[in-house]
Amino acid sequence: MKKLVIIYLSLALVFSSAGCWSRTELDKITFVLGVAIDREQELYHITVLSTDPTKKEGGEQGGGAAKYTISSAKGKSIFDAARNLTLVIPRRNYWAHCKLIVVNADYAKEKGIKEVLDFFTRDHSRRRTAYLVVTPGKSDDIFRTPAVLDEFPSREIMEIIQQAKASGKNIDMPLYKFIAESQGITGTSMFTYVTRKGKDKQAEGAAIFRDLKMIGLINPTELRGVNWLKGNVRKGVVVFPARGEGQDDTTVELQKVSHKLEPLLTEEGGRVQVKIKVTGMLVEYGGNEKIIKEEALKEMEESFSNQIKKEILQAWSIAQTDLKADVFLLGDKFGNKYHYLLETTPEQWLEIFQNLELELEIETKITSLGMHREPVLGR
Amino acid sequence: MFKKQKEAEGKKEYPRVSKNLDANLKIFKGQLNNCSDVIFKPLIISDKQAYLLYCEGLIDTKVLNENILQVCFADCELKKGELLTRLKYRCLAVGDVSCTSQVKECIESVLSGQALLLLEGYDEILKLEIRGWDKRSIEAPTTSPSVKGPQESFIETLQVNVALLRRRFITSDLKILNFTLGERAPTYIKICYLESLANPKLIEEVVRRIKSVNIDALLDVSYLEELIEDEPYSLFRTVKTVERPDTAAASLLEGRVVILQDNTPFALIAPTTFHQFLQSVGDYYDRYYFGTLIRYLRYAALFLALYLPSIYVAVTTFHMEMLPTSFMISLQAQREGVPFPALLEAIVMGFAFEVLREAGLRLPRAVGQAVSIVGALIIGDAAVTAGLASPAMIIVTALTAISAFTFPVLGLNEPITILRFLLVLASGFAGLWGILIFTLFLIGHLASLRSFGIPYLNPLAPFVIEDLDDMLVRAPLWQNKKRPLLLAKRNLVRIGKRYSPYKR
Repeated sequence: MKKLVIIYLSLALVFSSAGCWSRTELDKITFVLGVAIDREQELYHITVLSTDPTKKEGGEQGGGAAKYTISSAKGKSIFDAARNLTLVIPRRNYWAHCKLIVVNADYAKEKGIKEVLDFFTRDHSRRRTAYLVVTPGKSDDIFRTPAVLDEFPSREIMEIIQQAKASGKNIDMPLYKFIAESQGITGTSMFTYVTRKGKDKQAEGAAIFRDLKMIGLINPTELRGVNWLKGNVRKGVVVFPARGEGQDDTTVELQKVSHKLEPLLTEEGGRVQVKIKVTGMLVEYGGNEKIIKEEALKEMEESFSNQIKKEILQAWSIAQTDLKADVFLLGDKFGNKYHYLLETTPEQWLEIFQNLELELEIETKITSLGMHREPVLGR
Repeated sequence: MFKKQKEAEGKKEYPRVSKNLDANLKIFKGQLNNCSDVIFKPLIISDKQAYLLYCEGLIDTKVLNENILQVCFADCELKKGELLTRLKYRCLAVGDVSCTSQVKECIESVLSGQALLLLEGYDEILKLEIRGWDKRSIEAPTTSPSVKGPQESFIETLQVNVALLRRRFITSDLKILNFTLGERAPTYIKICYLESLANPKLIEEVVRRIKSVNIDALLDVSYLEELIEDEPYSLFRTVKTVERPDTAAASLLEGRVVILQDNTPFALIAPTTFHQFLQSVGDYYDRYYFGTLIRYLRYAALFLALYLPSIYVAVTTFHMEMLPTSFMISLQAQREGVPFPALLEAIVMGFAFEVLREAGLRLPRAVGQAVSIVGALIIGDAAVTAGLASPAMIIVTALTAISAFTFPVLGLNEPITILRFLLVLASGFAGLWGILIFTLFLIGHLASLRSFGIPYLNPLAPFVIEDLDDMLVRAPLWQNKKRPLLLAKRNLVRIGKRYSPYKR
């Protein structure tokens, strides 16, 4: 009897906390894989790219039809627009697999992306690990061009972003990281900027945000300059002139990068000391010297260092003068060391940042010359 | 009711044997009325009237002819002195000859295959041990085969089974107790244990339980198992059935008790713990690295066999965010067009598989295989093409089924099959949360079970760290130094101190 009561009570517990009403069959839903958000005439236009399981592999049209469908709706808020999608598509949208948000650059500049971030972080079924990209023109165009080497255009962009480490010219910035950076002293963070060139989608640098509003763009080389300073470059290639001047004719693949950044506040003002040690492997050589000679190698290494220095300084000047934003997140570094700085507002910090000095010390080493030690026609 | 009947039978008076042969014969003929398999063979031994009684088919005719009849007919030797004594000690070339004057005892022994010699003028009857009947030869184990190790299994004859054990223990330490159970059909039971290892209280308890059995017949050792187990209502078996004498011997060496029953090619092992159902003798005959790996494989298979369909149901109906996106998309594409909810699909496919399995078991061996292959292929393929089941569900069902076949001994498949269906229901109603709650109860139940006083989940609960060497891994023999703590407390050390192959 006592056992029966226990069983009855535990069943009651099970069924009061979860149950059949929260079940959904896979054939009643569609997975939203990406969402594009625009704003026109005070209305949010939302376009979702969602799975279409009715299109089986190897369909009648030779290579098989695309396994996704694109649908759009308008609404007064993002969620309103998302709900209005049910007027367009027969299945329930399932958001937990939505990994990509595309936002139009004009919208990001004028209105900021506060609403988007709120929509994606407040609801339990959406994930903070999603990526946001900024694009010029209509944001849903990204979805309307077929994917290359992937089934879904949204996943294609995601994979491109996740390869950021290979070149150093992109950033791997999920929503949660963006939010954390934007909450810092600098109030600055960035998202990948994606453009469409014909059939290809291309990551072209980053869109810089301050206080969740887009304030400008930097190109991929400048983005790498930023990444150098932030210590985010691990792999990639650097092209520079073999003899220190003239054409960029020699390529080195990075092997090991170590990075040290030291913020310093003195009477005269702030200073940032950055030490970067790079070892690389020669992959293309455009010079004519026999590299086995130590002077030639020295010369090459020096040119290599200068190239990196050039990239960083370019990014530095753009950040200080053009963008007027601490894209390097130096504010947080200073805050970590000088705690009283944690109180500063983004505006106050910007003033300090614009007067900061940069001390660069770059040490490069080319450890491997590859299969030959001489130019191809080594005479 | 049984008790009264038993008392009545106990009181039933058997007449005593007298010196008058005819009177004795009358008694026996009366008792064995209409037992046409009992042969009454009249003889004359050195001018005295005699009768030989035996049961057709239960005796060794060669011994009867050569060692008894020929002796009886060759009078010469028998003339000197007392006939019965001479027959008993001198003339009959039979291993075991004894005298008795109890009619009840005589009838029991003639029906169990002994021969009786009734002599005119004596009030004692000679019992001759000449049992011998057609029996199956000792064959390789069929339910728990292993590549290495002894290829013997128990057979239906009790004496042979005892001998199989005795050959492994040429020592007086192996004790064998006799019992006869069954009101209508008395059956011989033997309890075997090692005196120096087994807990006397355990023996006492086993004997008590066996003695308290009151049933008309025991047709298989599973009858006995059901009558003496601790938890009659549990899904799980708390007494293990084995057919390998080497497994039985290993159990004896851990301080367990082996129960043998006549007419059964299986032995019972008590007490039994849960992880014994996941151990195979092969583990001990292979290298220990491989034995350990296989053991983990088996644990994984147990998990799959129990949970896979329910996890599938839970993930596809409740927790679609849990799997990687591309996996989920592929699952969704496969389920497209299937008219049933995943829960029903899982139950129907599981049911179909159980039908196939049962059919394959019942059909004659040659047909059975064909039926299961054709059935599986056709049903599986047709169900997918017709859009009644998703390919993923077929894979899940097949993987589950195959996993369930990795259990090395009989007895685990039954509870797991039932629990699997219950789990699918639980997950269909409440997703992973349902599975979790169900598992909680399952573990609670397992932990509450005991087998002859030993906790069923020993050594995990209660946690006995010393015994984990035979559960988490298959420790090398020279590392597995101690017997199970709860079983063989009196004599724990299994292997000599400091002995290992490299510390000689």
